Amino acid sequence: MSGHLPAMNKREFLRFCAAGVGYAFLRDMTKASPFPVNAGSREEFDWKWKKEALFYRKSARGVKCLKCPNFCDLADGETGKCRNRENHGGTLYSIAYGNPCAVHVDPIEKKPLFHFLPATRAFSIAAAGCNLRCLNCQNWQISQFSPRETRNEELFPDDVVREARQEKCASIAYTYSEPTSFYEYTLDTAVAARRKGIRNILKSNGTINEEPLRRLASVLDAANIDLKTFDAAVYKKLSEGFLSTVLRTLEVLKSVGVWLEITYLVIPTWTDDFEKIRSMCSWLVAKGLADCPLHFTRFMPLYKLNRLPPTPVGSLERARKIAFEAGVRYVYVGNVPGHEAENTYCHACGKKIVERRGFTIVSMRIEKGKCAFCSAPIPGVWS
Amino acid sequence: MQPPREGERSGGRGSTALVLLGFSTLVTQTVFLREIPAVYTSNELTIGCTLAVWMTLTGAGSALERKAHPRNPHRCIPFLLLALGVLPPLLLAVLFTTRNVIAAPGTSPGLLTILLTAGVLLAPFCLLAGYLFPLLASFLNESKRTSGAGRAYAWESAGGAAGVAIFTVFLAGVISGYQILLLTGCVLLTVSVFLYPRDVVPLWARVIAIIAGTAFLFVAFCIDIDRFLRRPLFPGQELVLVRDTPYGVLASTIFSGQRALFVDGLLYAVPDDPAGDEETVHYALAQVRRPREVLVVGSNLPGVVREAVKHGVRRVDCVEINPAIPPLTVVDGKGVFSQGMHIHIADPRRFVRENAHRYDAVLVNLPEPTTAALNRMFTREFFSDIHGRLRDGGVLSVPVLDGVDYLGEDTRAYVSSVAAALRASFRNVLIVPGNRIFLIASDAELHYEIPALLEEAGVETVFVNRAYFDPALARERADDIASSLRREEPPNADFRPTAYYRTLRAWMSSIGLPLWAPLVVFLPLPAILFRRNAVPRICMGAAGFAGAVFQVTVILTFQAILGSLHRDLGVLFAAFMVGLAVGAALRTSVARKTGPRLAATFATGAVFVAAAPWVFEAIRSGTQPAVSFALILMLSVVMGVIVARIFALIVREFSGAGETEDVSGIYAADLAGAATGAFIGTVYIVPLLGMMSACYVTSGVLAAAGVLALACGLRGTGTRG
Ligand code: SF4
Ligand SMILES: [Zn+2]
Repeated sequence: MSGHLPAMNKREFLRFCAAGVGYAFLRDMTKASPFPVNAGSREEFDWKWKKEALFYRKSARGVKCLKCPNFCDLADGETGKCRNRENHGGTLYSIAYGNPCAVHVDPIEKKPLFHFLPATRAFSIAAAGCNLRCLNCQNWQISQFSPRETRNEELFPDDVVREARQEKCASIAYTYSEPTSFYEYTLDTAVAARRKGIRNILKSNGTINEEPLRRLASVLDAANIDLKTFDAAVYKKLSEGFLSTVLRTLEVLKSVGVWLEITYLVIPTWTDDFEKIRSMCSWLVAKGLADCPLHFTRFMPLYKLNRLPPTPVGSLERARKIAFEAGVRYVYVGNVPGHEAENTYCHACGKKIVERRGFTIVSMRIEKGKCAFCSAPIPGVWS
Repeated sequence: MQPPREGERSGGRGSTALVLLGFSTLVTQTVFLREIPAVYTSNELTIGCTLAVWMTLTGAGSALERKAHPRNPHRCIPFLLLALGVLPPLLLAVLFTTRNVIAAPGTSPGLLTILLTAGVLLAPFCLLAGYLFPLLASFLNESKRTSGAGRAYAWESAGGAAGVAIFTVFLAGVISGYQILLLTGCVLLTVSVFLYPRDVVPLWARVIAIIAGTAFLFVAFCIDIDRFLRRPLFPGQELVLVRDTPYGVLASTIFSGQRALFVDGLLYAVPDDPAGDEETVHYALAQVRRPREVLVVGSNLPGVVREAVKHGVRRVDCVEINPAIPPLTVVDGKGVFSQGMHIHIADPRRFVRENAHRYDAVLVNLPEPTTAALNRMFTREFFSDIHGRLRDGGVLSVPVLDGVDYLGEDTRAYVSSVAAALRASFRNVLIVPGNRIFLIASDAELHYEIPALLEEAGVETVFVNRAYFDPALARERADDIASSLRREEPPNADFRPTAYYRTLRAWMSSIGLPLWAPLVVFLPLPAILFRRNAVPRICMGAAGFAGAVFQVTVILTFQAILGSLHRDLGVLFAAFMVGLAVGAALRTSVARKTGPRLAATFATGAVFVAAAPWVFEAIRSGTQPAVSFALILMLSVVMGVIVARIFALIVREFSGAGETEDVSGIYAADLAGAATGAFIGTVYIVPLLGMMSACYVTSGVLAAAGVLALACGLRGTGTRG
C-alpha cells in the first residue's frame, strides 16, 4: 500500500504520542496532588504580585517552608501544597500578594462573628490557595487553585484599606479561602489597616505554626477559627489537616487577647459523633475558652462530599445542649434561618440580650458590655 | 484458528449460545452503565468512561481468544456460559459492598478511581464475553454467501436486541437492575446446561446449575435484595425505600428524624427546607403584581406551594417527569392539594409546548445541568417556549449555582451560556445571589428591592427578607458576577449544549483533571488497531467509531427533543442492534472485489450521516412525537445495518483463510472504535460542536475510511505482526 508509513515510524509515532499525552496527564494530575508540585518552567519569574515569603529556611532540596505544619520542602521551581508559595532560585516567594480573586462587603455576622462589633460591615478579601484539602470546601474554585489560575483584581495593602474606608467598613476580613496561606498579604494589609483604625478579622482553618501565628496575631482584633472535628484521624481524612495545630492556634489566639469565636460544622457521619463533641467542649472549657462563642453550623452537600443528607436540625440542637452542659457559655446554631439559637442569651440570667434575624440585629440589651438585665459582663467586643 | 466442523447441530448450538451471549452482555452492560455512575458519580462522563472500559475489556477478551484458543472448545463453552450467568449479580454485589472501601463514605470520587474500579470490577465478565464471541463464531459453518463470523455478529446482535427490549422496555421500572441480572443469570444457567449433550455437561453440573438458578430466582423475588445491598451507599441513614425507576435509582432515607430523597445517590429533595423553598419562589414572585397562576418544573413540591400561596396564588401546576417522585416528596399531600396544587406527570418540555395555559411565573426547581437530561431544561428553545406561556409581566426563575464567593472559569462560562439563552427571549435578566444564585428573566422591569416588595405584598418569610438579603450588597455581588460573565459564550441550545459541556469541565477541574485526561484510557487502542492487518482493522475501527458517535448524537438529539431517554434508551439500543443483526445477516457476494464494495458501503454511510441533520430539524419542527420517535429509530436501525455490513464485508475477506483469518482482531477493532466513539462523542464532539457538526465529523470519518479501503484494498497491504 503506497500511502502507508513504514511500521517502525508508526511505532515511533505511537510512542511519541503516548509519551506526550502521558506526560501532560501526569503533570495535570499533580494539580490535585498533596505533594509539592512543579510550577512549570519559570526561567523568568516576572510575576507582579510576589513577595519574599516569611518563615522559611534553606534545605538540602532547596527551601523549607516553616509557616504551616505541611513543612513543604521545595526544590527550585516547585510550588507548595497551598499553591501560592514558590521557590525561585532558593528564595521562597508568596505569589498571592495584592491579587485577590474575591472582594466583597459582608455583614460581620456572616463570618460568623456574633460578639464582635455587631451590625457592622466587613470588607472581605481572598487570594487563591489553601493548605488543606477539605472534601466539603464551599469555595474550592478559589482554595484549590493557584493565583495564576484565577481571575484576580489588583489591590495592594494600602488599596484594600482605602477601599474598606470608602465602603465604610469597620473591619477587614481575610476570608473565603485561607488567609494564613496568603500570609504576607494578610499581614501587611492588617498592619496598614491598624494604622488607619480599621480592625482586622481572620476567618481561618487555624492550620499555622505558632511563630507565624503569634506575629500575625499581634495585628489581629478577632478571629473565627474552623475546628473541623475533635478526632485527629477524621481531621486527616476530611481535610488533610492537623487537630493538634488547630487546638494550639485556639490557645495562642486566646492568650494574646484576640477575640475568638469557633465554628464547628456538623457533617453527618463524619463529625457528628456526640461523644467527641462532648470531649471537645470539655477541652475548650478546661483551656479557658468557655467564653468563646461556639457556632454549630449546618452542613449542606457540597463539592466532593455531595452524597450525604444535610445536617438534621435536631443534631445541631443536641450538640448545642452538650456544649452548654460542658460549660461553654455562648453556643449558636448556624445555617438554620429563623432558629432561636441565632440569638444571644445571657450566661448569667438566661435572658435574651441580642435578638438576631439572619445578619441583622433586631434588638440588643447589652449596655457597656454588660447584660441590661443582670449587669453580668458579656464577653465580646461590642464597640 | 480452524473452526471445528461438527455438523449442523454444533452450528445450531453455536447460534443459540451466541444469542445467549448477546442477551447477557447487553443486559449486563445496560445495568452496569447505570449502576457504576449511580454508585460513584453520575454524569455522561462517567457513563462514557464506563462504556469505554467495557468495550476495551471486551475487545481485549476477544484478542485473547487468538492467543489462548482452548484445545477442546466444545467442552469448555458450556462452563464459560455458566460463568457468564453467575458473574454479573456477584459483581454488582461487589460494587455496592466495596463502595465505602474504595471511596470515603458520602463522597463522589474522581474519575481515576471510577476508571480503575470499573476496570477491575468489569474485567472478569467483559474478558469472558469478549473471549466467547470468536470462540462461538468458530462453530458456525461457512456458507457460500455468508461468513460464519458475519452470522455470529447477527446472532449476537439479535440476542442483545432481545435482552435489552425485554428488560429495559417491558420490565423497566417493574423490577430492579439487580433482579434483572439475577433473572438473566437464571436463564443462562438453565439454557446453557440443556443446550449441550450429557457427555459435555455431566449430571452433577446440571443439578448444580438448576439449584443455582432457583437460588437466583429466590433471591430476586423473595428478599428485598436491593435495600440490603445498597445500605452502604447511604451511610448512617435508615434506608426506607429503594425504587429503580426509568429515571434513576430513587432512595428515601431517614437520618435523625430528617427525611431525604436521593436520585442516583445525589440529594434531590429534603422535605423541610424553608430557606430553599423561599428562594425558589420569592425572588421571582416578588417581581410580579398579584400572581395567580404558577408553573413549577421539578420537585420539593409542598414547600414551594406553601410559599407560593403566600402571594395569593390560586393555582400551582407542578410538572415532574418521574412518576415515582411526587408520592415521596408530597408527604402531607392533602394540605397542598387543597391549596390549588396540580401534579402533572409529563416531560416539562412537552408540557410547556402543548399546554395552552398561561402563567404569571414559571419556577424551574432543578439541579445544575450536569447531564444532557437536565441540560434541556436550560436551553434557549425551552426558555423561548416558556416565554410564550407567560402572561404580560410574567417571570421565569432559573437556579444556576450554589452560592459561592468566586466563580471559576468554566462556571462563569456555564452561567454565561444560560444567561445568553435567557436573553434570547427575555428583555431583562436579573442575577440574584442568595444561598443559590438565581437568574430571573422577564420582559418587565426587575428589581433588587425584593424584601420591600415582599413586605408590600404582605408576604412573611424566614429567609428571603431584610435580615438576610441586603439589596445593596446583593446588587454589588450581582454586578461582580455580571462583569465576570463571558460575552462571547454561545447561548445554551438543544443542539449545542454548551452549559452541559461547561459543567462537565467544571466537574473535571474540581477533581483536578483537565477534560481531555480520560483520553489516556484510549491510548492502548491504536496498538490493537495497528499491529496486524492494519487497513481492515482501521476500517473496522472507523466504522465502530462512526457508529458510536452517530448513536450518541442520535441519543442526545432524542433526549433534547423528546426527553424520555432514561425510559427509551433500551429501545434505541435495541434499534441499533436490530440494524446490526440485519446488516450482518444480509448475504455477501464473494464474486465481487471487497475493496470497492466496502468503499461503496462507507460512502453510503457518509452520505446517510451527512443527511441526518435534516432529519433532526424535521424531528424538531414536527408536532407528532410518535413520528419523531419513529424517525429516530429509523436512523438507529440504518446506522446499525451500515456498520454490520462493513463488518460482514471485512470478515468475509478475512475469515476461514488460514493465516489471514482475523475475526477476533477485527471484532476487537470494532469494539475499540465504538468505545472511543461513544466516549469522545459524548464528552467532546457533541457538547463542543453540537449535534449538526457531530454528524459532519462522523460523515468525514466514514468517507476517509472509504477512501482508505478503495486506495489500499484490504489484502496484502497491512503490516503483519
Ligand atoms: S504554607 Fe504552603 S508552602 Fe508553606 S508549608 Fe504550608 S502548604 Fe507548604
Ligand atoms: Zn443577665
